[in-house]
Amino acid sequence: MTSRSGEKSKGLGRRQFLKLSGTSTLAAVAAGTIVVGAPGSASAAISGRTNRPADLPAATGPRCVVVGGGASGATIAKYLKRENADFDVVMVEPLAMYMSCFLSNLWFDDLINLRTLQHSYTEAASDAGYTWLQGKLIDLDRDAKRAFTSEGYIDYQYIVLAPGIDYNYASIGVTDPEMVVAMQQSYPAGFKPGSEHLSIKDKLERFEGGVFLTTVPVGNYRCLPAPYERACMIADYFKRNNVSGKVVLLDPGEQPFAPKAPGFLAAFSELYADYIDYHPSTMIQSVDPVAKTVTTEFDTIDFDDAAIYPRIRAAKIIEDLGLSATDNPQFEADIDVYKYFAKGDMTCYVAGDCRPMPFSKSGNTANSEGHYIAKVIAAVEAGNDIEWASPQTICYSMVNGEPEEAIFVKAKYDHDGFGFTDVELDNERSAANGAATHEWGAGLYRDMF
Amino acid sequence: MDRSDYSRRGFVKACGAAAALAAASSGRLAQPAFAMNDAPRLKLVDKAASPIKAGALEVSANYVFLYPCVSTPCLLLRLAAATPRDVERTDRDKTSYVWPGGVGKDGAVVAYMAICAHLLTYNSSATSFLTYNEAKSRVSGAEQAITCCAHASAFDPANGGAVVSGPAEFPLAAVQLEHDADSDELTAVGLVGTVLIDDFFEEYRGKLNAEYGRGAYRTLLEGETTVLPIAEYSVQVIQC
Repeated sequence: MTSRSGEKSKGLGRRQFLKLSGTSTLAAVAAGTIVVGAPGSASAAISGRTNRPADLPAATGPRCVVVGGGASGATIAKYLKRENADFDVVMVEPLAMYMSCFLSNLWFDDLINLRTLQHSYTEAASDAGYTWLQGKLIDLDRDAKRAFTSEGYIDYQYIVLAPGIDYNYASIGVTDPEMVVAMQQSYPAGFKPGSEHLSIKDKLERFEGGVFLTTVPVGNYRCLPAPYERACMIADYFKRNNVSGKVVLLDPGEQPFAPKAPGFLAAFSELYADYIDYHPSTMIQSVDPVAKTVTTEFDTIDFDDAAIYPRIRAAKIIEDLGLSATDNPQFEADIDVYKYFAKGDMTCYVAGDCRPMPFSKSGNTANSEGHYIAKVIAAVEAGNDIEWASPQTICYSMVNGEPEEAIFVKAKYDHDGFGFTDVELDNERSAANGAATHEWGAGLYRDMF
Repeated sequence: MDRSDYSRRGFVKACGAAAALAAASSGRLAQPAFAMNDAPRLKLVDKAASPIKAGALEVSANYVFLYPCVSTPCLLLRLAAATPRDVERTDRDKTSYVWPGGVGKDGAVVAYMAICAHLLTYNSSATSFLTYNEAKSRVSGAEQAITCCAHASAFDPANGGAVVSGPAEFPLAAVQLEHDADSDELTAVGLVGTVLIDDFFEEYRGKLNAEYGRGAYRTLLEGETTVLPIAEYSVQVIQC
C-alpha cells in the first residue's frame, strides 16, 4: 500500500504539480506587484503584520538594517558592530539557518559533510552583538527610512541590501511559467543553497548512468570557477562510485574561467577523460525539462539528469525597489561603485551579488567587500572620508577527490577599470592546495559568524 | 604525537586572565586580552627533555613548540642571518610595540605564534598550515616568509612577523626568547604584538574541548616545553 500510494503520487504528481505550482507562482507575482509597486502608497494596501512595527527592542544607537545573511550580509552585520559599537544592527534573513554555496561542490563528492556548510544565525547574532530578525524585506520607503518586512517594519538610519541572486531562465530560452517552475524544481541550478543543493546530492546518489548535464551561464555569474569545479567533483564521484555516467558541461565561453583554465583543462583530460564531456563555445538556446533535452546552436542533447545554471540576476527585490541600473542586463543596482551607496542616498547601500562592479561574485570576495562596506558606513556616521580598498578574491578549486587536490588564484582589483591586479596563480593541482581548501572555507565561516 | 609530551608537568593555572570570564560569558565581545604578566618562563627542550641548543637548530627548518598553553602552537626558526634588533611594529589596535629581534650566537633564532593574524588558522597536531619557506610561495608570492596556506597571508620572520602579503593586516605575535650565551640554551619568556589567544580559544572552544578535555586547553605550561620538527608535530604539513 505504501509503495503503491508513493508511486501514485509521484507519477500523477508531475503534470498536476507543474500546473498547480505555476498558478501559485503567478498569484505570488501578482500579489508582489501590489506590495512592492510604489513605495508609500503601496504600504497602505497592506494589512497585518507588515504594517506594524517589528517586534524589536528600542534602538540603542544608530539603527543599521542589513537585508540578507549570506557571505555579504553576515559579514557586514558583524563588522558594523566592530566598527562602531554604538550601531544597533538588525539583520533580516528569512532562512532558518545559513548554508554556504562555497565548498558545497566538495559535499557532492563526499569530501565534507553537510554540517560543514551549515551555520547558526542565532549563534552568530549572539556572538557578534546584533539582532537577527527572521523575516523578508517586502518594501522600502527610503524617504521615511522605513523597511517593511514580513515581520513588521523597522525604522533605520542605514540600510544595506544584500539579498543575493535570482535566476533568469529566459536567458536559456525558458519563459513559460510552468516550464520555469519545472526547471527550478526538477533541475535546480544549485547556486542558492538549501533545497537546491540537497536535491542535487540526491540526484547523484540516485544516478544509475547516462548523461548528467551541467552548464555555465553567461555574464558575471556567482562563483566563476564553480561550474568547472563542480564538473570535476561530480566526475570524481562517478569515478569512485563506479557510475557509468558522463558529466556533460556546456560552456558559452571558449575555455574555462580564464586564470584557472590550464588547471581545469588538465584535470578534465588527465583525470576525467572518460567522465567529462566538455563543450566550450556552446550557447544554450532552449531547454525542455519534460523531454529532458537541451538545444544549442549546434545540436540537441538528451540528458538523464541535470543541474542547470541559467544566467543570474540581482534578487528581484532590487528591481522592485527601483534600485536596478536601467541598462544592466543582470538588474544589478545603480550604486556608487567605490562606496556602494544608492546614487544620491548615503543611507542605503547595496552589497554582495547585487552590486554592478565586475568583481568576482564569490563568497570570499563578498566577505572582503563586507569588511570595507562596514568601514564606509562607520565613516559616514562619523563624518569622515575613507580610502577605497580593493576587494580581495582568494579562491581554491578542488579538482580531484582522491587524493584531494586543488588549484588556486588570488587577486585584487585595479581602482580604475576594476581589472585584476596582484594576481597569484597556482594551476598545478596539489594535495597542499587540497588541504588548504578546507581551511580556506573554515576561515571564512569564522570571519562571517 | 603523544600529548603527554606536553602535559606531564604540573598545571594548575589557566591560560589567559580571560578564562574565567570567557567561561561565564556566552558572547565574544568585551573580553580582556591575554594577560601578558602571566606569561610563563619555559625552557625549550627536546623529546628527551634535554635543553635544545640554539646552534644545533637546522637553519630554515620549521620547528614547533607549545607556548604558553598546552594548546597554543608556536613556530621556532633559525634564519640564515642575524635579524635587525629592536624593531618597532604596530599591532591590531595601531599601537606600536618593539620586537626584540633574533637571539642565539648568530642572532637568527626567532619564534612566532603559529596562529594566523588573519582568520586564526593554526598549526594543529592534524595539520600545519603556517610554515616558513625560503623559496617563493606559490600562493603568496613571498620569499623567505611564513605563509599561511589558508588565505595566502605572508609574514617576515626576520622583521617582527611583519605582513609582506595580505590579507592579514597586522604581524604574527612574537615569542620573546632568552638565550644563555654560556649554555646556548633557549627559554621562552613572553609574547609581544597582537596575542590572539583569547580569540583562538573562543573560536575553537568546541574543538579544543574535544581534543584536550573540557576547559583543559587553557592550561598553562610550566617549566619547559618540547620542541619538535614540524613533521613530528603534525600528521600533515602544508607548504604552499
